[in-house]
Amino acid sequence: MSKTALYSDQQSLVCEGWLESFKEVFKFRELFYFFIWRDILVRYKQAFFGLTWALIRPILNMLFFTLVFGKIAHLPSDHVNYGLFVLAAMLPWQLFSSATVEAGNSLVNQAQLLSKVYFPRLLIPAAHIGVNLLDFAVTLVLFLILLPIYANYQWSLLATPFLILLTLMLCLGSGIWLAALTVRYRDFRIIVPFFMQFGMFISPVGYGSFLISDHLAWWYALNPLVGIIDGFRWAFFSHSHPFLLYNIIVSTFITSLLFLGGLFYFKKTEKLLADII
Amino acid sequence: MSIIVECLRVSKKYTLSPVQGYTTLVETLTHRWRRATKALCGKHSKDTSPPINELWALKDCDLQIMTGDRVGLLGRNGAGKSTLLKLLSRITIPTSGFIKVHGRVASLLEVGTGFHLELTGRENIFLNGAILGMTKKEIARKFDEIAAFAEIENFLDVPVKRFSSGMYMRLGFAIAAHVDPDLLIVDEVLAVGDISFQAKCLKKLNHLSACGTTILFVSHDAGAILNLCNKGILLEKGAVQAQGGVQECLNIYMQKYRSQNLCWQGNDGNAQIRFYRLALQNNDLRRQFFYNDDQIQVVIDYEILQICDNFIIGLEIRNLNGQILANSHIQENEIAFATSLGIKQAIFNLNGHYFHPGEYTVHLSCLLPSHSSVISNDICVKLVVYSQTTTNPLLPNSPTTLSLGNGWQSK
Repeated sequence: MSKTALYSDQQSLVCEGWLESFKEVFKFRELFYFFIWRDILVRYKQAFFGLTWALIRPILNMLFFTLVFGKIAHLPSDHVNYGLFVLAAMLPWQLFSSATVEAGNSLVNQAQLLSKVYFPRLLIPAAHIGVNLLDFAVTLVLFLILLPIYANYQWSLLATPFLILLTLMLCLGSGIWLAALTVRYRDFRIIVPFFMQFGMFISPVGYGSFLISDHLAWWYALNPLVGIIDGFRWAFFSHSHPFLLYNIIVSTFITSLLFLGGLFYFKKTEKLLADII
Repeated sequence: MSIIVECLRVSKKYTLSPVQGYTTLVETLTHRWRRATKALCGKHSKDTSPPINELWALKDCDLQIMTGDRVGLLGRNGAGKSTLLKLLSRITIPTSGFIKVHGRVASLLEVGTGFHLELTGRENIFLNGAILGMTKKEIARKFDEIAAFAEIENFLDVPVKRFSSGMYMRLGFAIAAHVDPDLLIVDEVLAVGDISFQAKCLKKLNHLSACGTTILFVSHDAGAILNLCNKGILLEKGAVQAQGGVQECLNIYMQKYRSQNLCWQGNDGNAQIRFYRLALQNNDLRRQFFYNDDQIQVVIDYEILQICDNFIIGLEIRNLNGQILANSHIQENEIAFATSLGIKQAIFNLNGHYFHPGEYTVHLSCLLPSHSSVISNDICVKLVVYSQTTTNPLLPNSPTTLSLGNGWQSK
């Protein structure tokens, strides 16, 4: 097995083919699984409740939101049990927020490793998304068990894989953007958790997006999570509203932009990573 | 034999200005803003940033490494050794120039890179193996071998954070040594670990080399380099100073940086005798380091100004602690060392067999019968002795001061 690693000055490196990059990532896929495996192992080592935490967190959140928005504020949930209504949104939200924050910090946290060994750097933020996918899966199973108690399974449930894929793309897109930015500017370590708190309220997690007035809804959809959360709620409960399709299309578009832009910026930063980290 | 590594005019620049490196968003934004406003106001002072400190870690570096070579990379701190290793292992990219590496590279720039403290020894073998480029199958196949080499079989299920630093180090080396790369890059990792494990590492590296792995080895320990390498590359201020046999490179290295010790030159003595030079040589080649089967000649240049037969010229050999291990004296009335006036040379033949590998100093002494010294300075040269053969790691690490060499015969 002989391969040739060939590289030259920066100018030609920027033009280095995307195809080679993807091939390389593919070649290192085993290391990718190892990183996911490591992070899963580490996450619940020396934790008494272990993987149960994957369930406890969203359930606590769900109870809190149900209490505040459902019981106190009496917001409508389109005749769905308010707890389930919130949990359906909590699924993609939890995946997005944890994965993005962790992926964003991942490169800086692994600076030691990055300055000593070579492998495609993309694996590190991507692995953090893989780990959170496990938590997501656990919550999803819980949700699917609870669902028939309050509602029926719908055919629209078949759209879930597409929605999960879209969420993952969003996570990876924003994750690698933040990872690369954090390498350059540590400010993002502080900004991101703050925006995540904020983001939970500008996304329809605790309430339904149908509450947004029409003239605002056009802009509201620019938050890619709006389309995704609406999509999940539609898939689980088959509840539609006038802006549903528009929201999903805008979300897909913005997610793709974010993802492609992230890849470009990450590739650019990757070259200088060991020097500036 | 084919070329495995080729570097052409490779340069690497580091910018030490605050703009690159550890920055905050505000710094960058204000910098950009200031530049933009300056441009708008029509001020053409182009450079508003503080003077940029540039550091060329490597400058127009050309080198070639052939398949199967064991190359020792020499150079002082800051000569660019680590930068070169980073470039070869693709951690960073050159500012300009061209690097070509054929085959799989495993770099051991630091022992235990990528270990996760919370994970057990077993888990870390898999993780670290994968980081260094092994497949899961490969790791599973070599697992027992790695554990045995690291001598941690009983600790496989203990988190690495509970390991002693020796165990940690051994495990790190063991994994990297089993990667089976085409090019193995090793950076001063042997400096840690006990003597017997160091010997084991060297043996393993020799074995890998015999199996066709090309090795690039960086160490400040000239002994380890002499033991392991057959080729040398000497870096100085980011440029290749010498490339070739390891012995020549070490010679140049020693001459350049230890010249004050390589040979003493000066003028010392009294009205009757003056000393000008004290040096070590082997076959007329001035050297400082010898194998333990070499003949070491101690050369003294002196001048007799006035015939006088009552002083004693001598040599003392001391170890690094200053302890005198042996001495030898010429009594002036014995041989014709001082029977005529003029510049003379005395040569003392020393047998390398008597030394354990290590560093010594050879001191010149010249005493009057009253035991007062004729010379006012401490005149000495450093003597470094290496073992020609790899020492059997099973032997006890000898606490003796002198060695008897290998004088055994069977009859």
